Amino acid sequence: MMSTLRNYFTRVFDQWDQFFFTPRDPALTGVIRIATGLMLVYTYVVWGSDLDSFFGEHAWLDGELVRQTQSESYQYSFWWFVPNHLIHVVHWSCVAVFVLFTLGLWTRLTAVLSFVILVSYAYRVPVALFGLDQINAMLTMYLMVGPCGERLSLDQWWKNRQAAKSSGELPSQVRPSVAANISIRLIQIHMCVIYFFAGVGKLRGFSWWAGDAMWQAFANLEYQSRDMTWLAHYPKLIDVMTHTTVLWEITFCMLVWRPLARPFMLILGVLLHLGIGAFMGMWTFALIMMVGLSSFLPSDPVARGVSRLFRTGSTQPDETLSDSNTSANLANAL
Amino acid sequence: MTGRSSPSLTQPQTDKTASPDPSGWSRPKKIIVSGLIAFHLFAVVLSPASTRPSSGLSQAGWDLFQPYIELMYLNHGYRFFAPEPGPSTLISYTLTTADGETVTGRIPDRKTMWPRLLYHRYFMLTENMNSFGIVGDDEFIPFGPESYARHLCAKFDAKTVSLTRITHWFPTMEQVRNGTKLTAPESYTEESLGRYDRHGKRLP
Repeated sequence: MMSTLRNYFTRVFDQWDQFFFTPRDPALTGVIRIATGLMLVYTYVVWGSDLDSFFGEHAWLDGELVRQTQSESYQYSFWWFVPNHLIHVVHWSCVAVFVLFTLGLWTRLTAVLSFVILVSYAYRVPVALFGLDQINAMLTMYLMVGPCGERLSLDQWWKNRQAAKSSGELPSQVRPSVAANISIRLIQIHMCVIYFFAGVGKLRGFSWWAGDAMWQAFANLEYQSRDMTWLAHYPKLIDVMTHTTVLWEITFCMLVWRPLARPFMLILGVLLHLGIGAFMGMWTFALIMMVGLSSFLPSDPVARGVSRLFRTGSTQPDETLSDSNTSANLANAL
Repeated sequence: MTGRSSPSLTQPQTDKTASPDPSGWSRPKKIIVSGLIAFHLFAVVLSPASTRPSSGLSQAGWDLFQPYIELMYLNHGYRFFAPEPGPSTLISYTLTTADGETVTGRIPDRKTMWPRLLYHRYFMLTENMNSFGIVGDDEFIPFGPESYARHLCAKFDAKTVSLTRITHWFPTMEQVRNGTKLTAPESYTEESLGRYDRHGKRLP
């Protein structure tokens, strides 16, 4: 009995160890950094197009009232200390930080600054936010953890250039990193949590059981970006879309770890988000969710692709994490 | 360590010929980082789990983790289109300027709010208006109308503004099959939010 228990816990610790502490090529974190960074730049350039209305002295959300709602909380924002005449300077400085983060310059610093900026904006205008802002912050938070500037970055380019100058060496080989793996693992788990709660939240709704919830979404004129009312003639199709959405969201956290089911779950996810973008006008949300889903892409092919594209050194294949193997292990453990 | 049938899993005894740990991390470092990961993931799950309706246990967990959850901006329920997609909320306004002129408008407005992301920000202002306020003496005190009224009066240099909440209901599939349009006048219901001065004070 004791031996069985000991074996069981040894297996659990082994699986945990392998899942979180196997080094991974930081190429995927680099790809996610660029995609997230581009979204941050776009999101904040759009804020800038109407900055006074949201962050100015007479903003839609009065600063003093927002602070009252946060009086017994741990929410923070540097906007409380920015005088009105400086809001444009501060805002475009923040956009500059996002540009540097996207390019991978001083990435360790710009990743942390980007996260602080994101949270500060979010707590200044809490009522004007939606899923995009939550996912932007989530991805940036995990990119802060990993060495997201070790690939596809100006930091790496500069490092290689200096090495070549001083000793005539070829571009240095990027070492696989445990922190890169932890960063990717946390994004993956967080995506599972998001979809799971999105799915179980729908179980409380009558229309998600009755099958017409997707119709209600398509027939919402304020969201709609294409006339989808023709779907009224195909109620069974609406039923299929409604049930598939709930089933996919709830089972994502289980099936995405199974190597055989993973491609299917990811393709369904991409289709779902393409639909949200194309028919409900939320392209920004759809794209950033797909960036989150990209964390499930196999690490090695991404690393090889990045190396081929930029002719940089890749990690040793035998040292890096084989994602399908560890995922299968996790699935077995579960 | 490559699967359920792996020798290292079925025979957990130390393999003296095993290669060194590829991570290069010491055991104490792994234990500390594992603790941090577990703490963080607990917060990640707790936040949506304690979104109402939720159990007393979830609420107690929230109270404990609130500082971390809020500092890291993890305070989300992820209830996209749940429990129901629901109708849209819009706001129309009628301003009276100092010289007696009347200005009307509605948010969100696709014609004037571009790009789509900006339109969506305005849409969220109206959709989430009911969540902007504080709970005082067992009743919710909304800040939305007061705040929006101040903004509109300042923007248009107006003396007063009247706000109306418009709920746009969607037709059923059967109604659409019978010819009802999404813009049908009967699909809109209106509720006055009152008249306000430029300081956001509600007028009788």
